[in-house]
Amino acid sequence: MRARNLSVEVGRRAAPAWPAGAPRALLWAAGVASLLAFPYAADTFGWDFYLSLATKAAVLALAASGLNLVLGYGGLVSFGHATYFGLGAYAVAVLSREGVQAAWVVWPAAVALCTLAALAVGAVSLRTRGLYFIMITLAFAQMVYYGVISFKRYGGQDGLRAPRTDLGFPLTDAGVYYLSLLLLAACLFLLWRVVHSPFGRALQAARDNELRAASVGFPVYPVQLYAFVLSGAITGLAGVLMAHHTQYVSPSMLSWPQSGHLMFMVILGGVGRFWGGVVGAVALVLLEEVFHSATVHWQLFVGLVLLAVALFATRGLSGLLEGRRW
Amino acid sequence: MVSLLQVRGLSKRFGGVVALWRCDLDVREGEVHALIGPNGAGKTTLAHLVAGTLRPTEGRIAFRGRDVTRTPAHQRARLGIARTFQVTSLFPKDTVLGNLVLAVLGRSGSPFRLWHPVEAERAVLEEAAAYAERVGLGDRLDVPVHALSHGEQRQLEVGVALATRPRLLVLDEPTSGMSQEESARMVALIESLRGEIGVLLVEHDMDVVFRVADRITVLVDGRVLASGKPEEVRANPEVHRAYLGEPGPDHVQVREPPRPPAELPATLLQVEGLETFYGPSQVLFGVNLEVRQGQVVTLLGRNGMGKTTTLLSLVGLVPPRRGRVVFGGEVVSGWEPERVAKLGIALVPEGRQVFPNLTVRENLVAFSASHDASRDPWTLERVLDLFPRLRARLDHWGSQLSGGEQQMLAIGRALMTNPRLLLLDEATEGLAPLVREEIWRCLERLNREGLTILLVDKYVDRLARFAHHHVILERGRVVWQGSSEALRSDPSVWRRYLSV
Repeated sequence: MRARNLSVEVGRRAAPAWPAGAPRALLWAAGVASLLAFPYAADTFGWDFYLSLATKAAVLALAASGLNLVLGYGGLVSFGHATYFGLGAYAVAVLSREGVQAAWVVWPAAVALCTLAALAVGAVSLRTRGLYFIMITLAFAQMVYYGVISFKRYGGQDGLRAPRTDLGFPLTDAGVYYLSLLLLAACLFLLWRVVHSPFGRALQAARDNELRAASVGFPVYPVQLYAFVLSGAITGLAGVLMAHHTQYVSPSMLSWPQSGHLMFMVILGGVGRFWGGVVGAVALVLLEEVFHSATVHWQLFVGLVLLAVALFATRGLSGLLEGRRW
Repeated sequence: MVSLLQVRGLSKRFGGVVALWRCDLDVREGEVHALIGPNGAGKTTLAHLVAGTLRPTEGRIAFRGRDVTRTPAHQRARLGIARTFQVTSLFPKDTVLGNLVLAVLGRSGSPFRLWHPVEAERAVLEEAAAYAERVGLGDRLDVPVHALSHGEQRQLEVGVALATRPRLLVLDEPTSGMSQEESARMVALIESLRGEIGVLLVEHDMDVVFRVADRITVLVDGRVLASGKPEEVRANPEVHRAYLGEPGPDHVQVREPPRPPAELPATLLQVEGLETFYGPSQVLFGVNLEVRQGQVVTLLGRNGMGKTTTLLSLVGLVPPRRGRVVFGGEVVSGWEPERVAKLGIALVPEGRQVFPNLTVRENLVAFSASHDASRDPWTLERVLDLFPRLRARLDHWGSQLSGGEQQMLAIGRALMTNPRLLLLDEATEGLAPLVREEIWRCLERLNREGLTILLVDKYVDRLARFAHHHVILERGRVVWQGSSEALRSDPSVWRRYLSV
């Protein structure tokens, strides 16, 4: 009796974010179908630009979701996630410059590089807290940034061409779009499992009350480091996709404004909310586009929207959309 | 008998301050071992060292025969040492069940299980629910922590510790801030643990200590003064002197009860029909009270009756929805808290709230008010004269002070704003008898020097010796008020409103 009550209770807590009930399932099916059909529509109606925009949104959604794991669920304000994003992208360009184009080499190598970078940065910076953590992650990011632009061979300040890797078949723009969607879905599924697992609970417990989390037996530092590395790897994967999308990498992808941009997305979408990264990235890409086409002062208006979210919707847009807690 | 916990020659220094000096302590399997001592004796420090949240400067800690001196806190938790915190420390956003689930997860299995949702682990949920039942929160599973009463939070605190299935439970003042009823429940819970696990109990309430303890260790100034059975400790004259507050000469002498001057002084604070809400729930239902110039007025009542809320409403930290607060002729209800403070009402909040990362000097100087040209403004020097203990601690961080010193600092900080009315909320909460006495004497002195004081405290007996007027709150309403004589001569008031 007790057990049944519990599972009903807990089931209700867990359900809202994942589809439940027929109308929601229909809504989901329609959404997925239109996402899949989008390239055909784009092709038919000449919306090439919008396909590019959608790809960009999907890639940034992946990067922001990766960041949300540490920023939202871990409560760790990493101000250096551009490092993993940029390194993932640069790995594609640099390997291509060195004659390596095979996707099965480039992709794992790029993600491994980002994983190692996150491990190194996380191992040091997670020994600090608060403002110091922010500054150390920023400092590492700046080191990587200046390190990369010092390589004249790899374009220095000017950036580098990044031809698409060889998957064994020609990769069109629509192909990059589908690949981005596929990887976004896969990573979101992974993240969903992770944040609802005992590990995810431990991560959130350490965010809410570190001393208490340690006192009930959670090894806070290893848990946070693990999350940091996973987060870096996912954001790095987004970087690889971005290189495939733009076919060009520039040092700005490694710069601190890029880190800030990713943080904006998470804050806009909802810090520590599962859909925060996705909603934030899509919203920011759309906002920038709308204001960009309307005025040269578009950044001012984007800033005002962010201000409004920070002041009036502290749970972010996904919090507003959902209208309830889970 | 085998010791569950064996502490040998344990010392801890914070900078230049020696908090603990070569302490020995043994807790046996299944016993309730109380750790008592005046404030600043090092009890909480010892609790931290045992739990692993602090590292000792020297000495050794063995748990079940294994040296754990250098073992990090989370591993000690897994070995079977659990603790509760002096200040309730839970996962605030989570529910009762959620907190307990976390504790069960922390103990069982690897924290690196990344794939299966917590909800799928039926056994974990059932176990967590069982612990809720055990600490008396079985019907509150889905209530978020912030919606629990203080007493319930303390119960959950113990539940979370128990859910890690400890062999040794370190309880740091589990009954602090509890009503007598809640406290009795906690005592029953502790007694139910006897024989099952070892309990190291840090506690101020002597009734609780002598009721539940199998053995008692007395710490004074970071040293172990005595250790043994309750009777032995009670019979030890040294312990009496140091802790149980042997009445000093000043204490015994019958004080002249304060006489109100022939004609009543002018009204300084007038509160009319104060109604305050937290969200939709109403806490104050029309509180009326009056504080006259130069008086000491107490606000009494059981826990949860609206005393703290009244104080917070007066200074605007929780704005009242209806009613009027008139201070020195000005209507201050509806004002911002800082404007109220500038006018001369200073609040010493519950829980002291000193700035942990400022030194004592900085804590005090940061609040010195230059705007007030009163004839005798408070200076750092004057505060240090009032609290000589703070002088030695001037350059220590706020976080390094003992509870009593923090309280003195909090009062000093309030005085530095040159208030005309000083509000104190539970200023002697969790302090040892001698330190409490020290605080009260300072308040008496301040009052003699002309300061008007409104305070919330529960030691009615002691307060009646220097307060002029008492106001009793019950469920957000004033149900009785009168002088100390009236209060003392009417035992029915005590029974009805103040005791169980």
